[in-house]
Amino acid sequence: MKTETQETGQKGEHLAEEYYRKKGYDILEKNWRHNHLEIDLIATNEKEIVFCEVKTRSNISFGEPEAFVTPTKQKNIIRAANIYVKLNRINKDARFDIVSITLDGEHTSINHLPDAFQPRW
Amino acid sequence: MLIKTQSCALMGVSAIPITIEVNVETGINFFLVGLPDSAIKESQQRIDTALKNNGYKIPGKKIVINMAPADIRKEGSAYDLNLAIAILIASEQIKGYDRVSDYYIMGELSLDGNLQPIRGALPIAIEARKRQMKGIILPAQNAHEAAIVSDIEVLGVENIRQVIDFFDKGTPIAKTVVNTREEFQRSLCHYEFDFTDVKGQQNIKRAMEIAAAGGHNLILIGPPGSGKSMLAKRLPSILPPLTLSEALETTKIHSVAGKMSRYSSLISVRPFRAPHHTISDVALVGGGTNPQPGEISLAHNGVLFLDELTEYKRQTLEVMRQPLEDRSVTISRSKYNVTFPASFMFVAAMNPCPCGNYNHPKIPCTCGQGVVQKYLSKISGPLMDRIDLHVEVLPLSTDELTRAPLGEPSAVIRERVVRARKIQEERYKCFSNIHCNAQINTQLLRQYCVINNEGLELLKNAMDRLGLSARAYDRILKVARTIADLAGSENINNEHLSEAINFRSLDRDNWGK
Repeated sequence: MKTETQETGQKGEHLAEEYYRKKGYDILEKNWRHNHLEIDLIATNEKEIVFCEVKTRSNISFGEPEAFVTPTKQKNIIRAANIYVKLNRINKDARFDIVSITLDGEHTSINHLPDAFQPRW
Repeated sequence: MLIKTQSCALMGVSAIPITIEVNVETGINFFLVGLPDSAIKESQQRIDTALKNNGYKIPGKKIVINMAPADIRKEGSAYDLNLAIAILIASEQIKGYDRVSDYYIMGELSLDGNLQPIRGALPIAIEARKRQMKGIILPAQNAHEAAIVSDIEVLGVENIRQVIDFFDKGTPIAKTVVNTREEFQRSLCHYEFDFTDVKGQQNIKRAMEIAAAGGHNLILIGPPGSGKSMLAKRLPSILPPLTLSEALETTKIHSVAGKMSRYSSLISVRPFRAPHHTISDVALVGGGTNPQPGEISLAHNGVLFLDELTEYKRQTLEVMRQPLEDRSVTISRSKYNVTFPASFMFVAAMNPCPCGNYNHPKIPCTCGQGVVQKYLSKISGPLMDRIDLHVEVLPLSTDELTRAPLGEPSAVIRERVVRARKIQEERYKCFSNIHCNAQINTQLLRQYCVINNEGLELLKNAMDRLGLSARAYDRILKVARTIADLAGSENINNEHLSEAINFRSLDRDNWGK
C-alpha cells in the first residue's frame, strides 16, 4: 500500500523521465541504489552523463522544491555518482541536475535546473 | 591526463618556483592539495565562471591538483590563471602539453576572464631567468616591471583568451621589451620642495648635506615652528639619484609589498617614507603571518622620517635598534625565517621638552626640574647612540626671517652631494651591497678612515668629555670620512674630525644640565 507522499514522488519521477526522453537523452537508471546512497535518475547523451535529483511537491507553501536538496544531500549524490562512474567505467563529463516538479491539482509545472551543483575543492 | 605547469611563490624579496600538477581521470570530485590558503580554495568559482564565459569549463571528472613542494603554504590569488590553463590542458580541451612548462604563468582571474595584477613581478622575472625558463606569462599591468629583466620573453596578457589561443592555436602574444638603462637615465626627478625656500639655518643645511652625501642618520631637535619638518621635507631634493643596482633592490621590495603602480617599471626616485606615529611595530619593521616588508624596508636606499619622535610608542622605536645597526631585518616565525634588506637614512625630529622652549633664545622654558632630562630619556640611549648627526634647530629671529636672502637652491647642494657620492661609489665598487660611507663595516672602516695621532687625541678627548661609546667612535669616523669626501680630500684632517665630533654634542648626558 503506497502512501500519498510516495505516490506523489513516483508521479514526479515519471514526469522527469519523460522530460529527459523528450530532450533526447537515454535513461540509464531509475532509483539507482548502492548501499545507503541513491540517485533518482541517471541519463546520458553523447557528451555527458547526467545525475538528476527529482523533487516533487503538491504545493509550494513550504518553499520551492529545489531548496530541499541540501548540501548534505548534494554531497551524497556526488559520492554515489562517483561510485557509479567508476563501476561502469564511464569516461564522459558528469553533470548534476535538479528537476523540481509541482503538482497543483490540474497544473503541473516542471522546473529543470541543469548543472545545479558541483563538487567543491 | 597529467600535466605539470610552473609558477612562483614569494618568500621575502625573492621568488621560489612552485610546480602545479593537475591530473584528470574517470570519477567525480575535486581535490586540491599542497597547503592552499583560502584565497586559492576560493579560486574554483573564479576559474569556473571565467572559463564558462569563454566557452570552456571545468570538466565533470575526478580532478586532483597538487601544488608542489607540498609542505610550503601557498597563498594568494595569483595562481588562478595557471590552474585554469592546467585544467584545460589536462582535460584535453586545449592543446599545449609540450609548451606550457616553458613559462611561468601567473595572474588573478576576473569572472569575465580578464586578468588582475599580481605582486612581485620583478622577483618572479629574476627567478625565471635564473632557472632559464623561456619566459613568463603575466597580467599586462605587471609586464613593464617584469621586462626590466632581459633574456626572457615577457608576455603580458589582458584576458585568458589570449593565453588559451597561444597554447591551443599558437597565436603569438606581443612581447614587452623595456630598455632599462635608457628609461632609467631618462626619468628626471621633479622635486616638490626646494632648499631655496629656507632662510638661514646654515648649520642644519650643512648637517643635511653631510647626511645626504654619506647616508648618515640625523636628528633635529628644536622648539615648535623652528622649521624641522620643513627642512626634512626638502631632504629628497638633495639626495643623489639611485644607481641601477640600488633601483633594482628598491623595486623588488616595493613589488613584493604590492606598492608598484600599474604599468610602472623600475623605481627611479629614492623612497621617502614618513609614517604617522600611531604605527605598530610590525608595520614598521615587517612581519605578519605572511611576511611583508615594513616601513624600514620600504625606505631601503631612501629615507625614513619620523616626525615628533617622542610621540611614537617606545617599544616601536626600540625594535628599530637592531636594523639600524645591521641594515637588514630578519623576521622569524614558526614556519620560516625571512630577511628583508633595510639600509635606510633615519631622520627624526622632536621638541627638546614638553613646552618645547628649552634653549630657545627668547622664550623661557617652563618645564620643571628634571623634566627636560626625563623628556629626552623617552628616546633611549641605545637609539640615540645610533644617530650620527645631532642638530639643534633654533628658530630664526624676526630680523633674519624678513631680511635674510633666499638660501642656496637644492640643485647646487645636490651637485656637491653627487660628487661626494661618486667618490664613495668608486671606492666601494668591489662591494655589491655598499654604496655609501654609512654602510661600511669595521674592516673597511680601518682601511679607509685612517686618522693621524693628533686626530686620535682629539677623538679621545671628545669621548671622555662627552661620554661616547665605541659605536659612536666608529660613526664619528664615518661622518668625518664623508666630510672629507665633500671637501674633496683624500685624507681625514682634524677639521673634518672636529666637525664630525661637534655634531655629536647632544648625547644624552649633557642635555638638561
